[in-house]
Amino acid sequence: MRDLNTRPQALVIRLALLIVAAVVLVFLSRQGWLRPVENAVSFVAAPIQRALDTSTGAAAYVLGSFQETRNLREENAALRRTVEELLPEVARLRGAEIENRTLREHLGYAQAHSDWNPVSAQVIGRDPTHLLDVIIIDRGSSNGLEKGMVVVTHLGVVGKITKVASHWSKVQLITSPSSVVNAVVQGGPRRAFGNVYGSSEGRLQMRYILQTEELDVHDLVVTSGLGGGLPKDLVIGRVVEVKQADYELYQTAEIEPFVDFSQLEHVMVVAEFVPLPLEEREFTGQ
Amino acid sequence: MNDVSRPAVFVLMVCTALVQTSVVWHFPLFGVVWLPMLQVVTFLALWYGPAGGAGWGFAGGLLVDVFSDAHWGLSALALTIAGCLGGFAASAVQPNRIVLAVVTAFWVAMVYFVLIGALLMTFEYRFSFGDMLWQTALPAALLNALFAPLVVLAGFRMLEVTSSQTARRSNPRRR
Repeated sequence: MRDLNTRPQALVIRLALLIVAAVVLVFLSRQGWLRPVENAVSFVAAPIQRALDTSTGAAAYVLGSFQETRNLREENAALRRTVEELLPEVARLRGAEIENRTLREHLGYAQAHSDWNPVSAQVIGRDPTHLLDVIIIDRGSSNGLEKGMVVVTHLGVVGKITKVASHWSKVQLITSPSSVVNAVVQGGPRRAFGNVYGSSEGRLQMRYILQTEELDVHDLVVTSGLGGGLPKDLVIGRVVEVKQADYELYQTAEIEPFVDFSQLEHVMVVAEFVPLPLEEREFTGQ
Repeated sequence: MNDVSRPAVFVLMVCTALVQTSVVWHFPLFGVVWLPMLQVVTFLALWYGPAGGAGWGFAGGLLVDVFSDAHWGLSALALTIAGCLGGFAASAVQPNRIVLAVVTAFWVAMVYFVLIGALLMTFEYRFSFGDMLWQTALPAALLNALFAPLVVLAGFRMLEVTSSQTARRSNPRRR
C-alpha cells in the first residue's frame, strides 16, 4: 500500500542501511567471497536466461531480417537510380571507344597510304530508304574535295563522291544499283577482269568474267584501275559464289564486301587521286 | 502488510530483471538499449515514496546484478539512491501525473547513470565520463522518459488492482 508519510529520520536510517548493505555486497563481490552464492544463483537462473536469450534472439533475427530486407530494397532502388544515371555516360564512353578504335584503324591505313593525302570524314547522313545507297559526309569543297573522288575505309572501297558542297559531300556507295566498278579477281594463276555492279538489294555482283578464267570462293576482288576512275588494287570484297553456265558467254560472281555499309561512321576520301575526265574514261571502257 | 501488491511487485521485478539482462539488448531502440528496471523503480518510487523507492530500488538493482553477473551491489547501490530521490516526486503536488512520470523517469535515469559511472571509475574502470553521459546516459534517460507514461500508468493500475480494499481506504490520497 502507499505510505508517503515516512518520517525523515526513519527514511534516513532506511536509506543508510540499504546503502551500507549495497556497499558491503560490492566489497564482498569484489573480493570473491560471494562466489558460491553467485554460482548457486547462476545455476538456477542460467537456464531461464538462456531460454529467454535464445528465443528472443531468434525473434530479433526475424525482425532484423525484415529490416534488412527493407534496407536491401532501398539500397537496390538507390543502385538502380545510380545505374540509370550512369547509362548515358556508359553509352557515351562506348561510342567514344568505338570511334577511337575506328579512327586508330583509319589512321594506320592513312599512314600506309600517305601518298593519297587521305581526308578523314564523318558520316553525317544516309539514305534511310537504302534505294539510292548514298551517304553524306561532313567534308566538302572547303576541305579540298571534288566530285569523283574515291571514298574508302581501311576495309575497302566505300564509293565515290557524286556531289560536293562547301562543307559536305554526297557519296554514292558501290552497292548502289547505278554503281559500276572495274575490278579484278586475285586468286587463280591469272587475274580475272570484270565489272562489279551494285544492286537494289545492296549486294555486289561481278559480271563479264571470261569463261576461261578460274574463280574460287574466297578469292579477293580489288579495283583494277582500268578506266582511271579508281586507284588500282583497292579492296572491294571476296567471292562468295560463282555462277557459271556453258551456254553463257561470261561467268558471274557474287561478291561480299568487307565494308559493313550499315555501320559506316568514319570514312576517308582519297584526295590525291584525280579520276580521269569522263570522255577519257569512255575511251578506256569504264 | 496484508495486501498482495508486494509479492506481485517482487514477481514483476524478477521478470523485469530477466527481461533486462536477456531480452532487451536484442532490440535496441534508435541504437539505445532500453532499461526496464529503471522504469519499474521509477513508478514504484512514485507510488511508494522515497522510502519505498529506496527499498525497491535496492531490490531491483540487486536482481539486475544477480542476473547480469556483475558485481553484486553495484546497481543496487545506484538504484537505491535513484529510487529514493525519485520518490520525493511522489509527495510533490502535481496535477498531471504523466508529466510527473516523464520528468521523474528522466532524472532517475540520469542519477542512476551518474552513480554507476562514478562507482565504476572508483573501481578503476577507465572511460570518459563525459562521453558516457552524452552518448549513453542521456539517450537512455530520454528513452526512459519516453516510455514512462505507459509504464507508470500500467504499473499504477496493477498496484491498484493488487492492493487490498483496506489498504486503499487507509490512504486518503487514493480516495
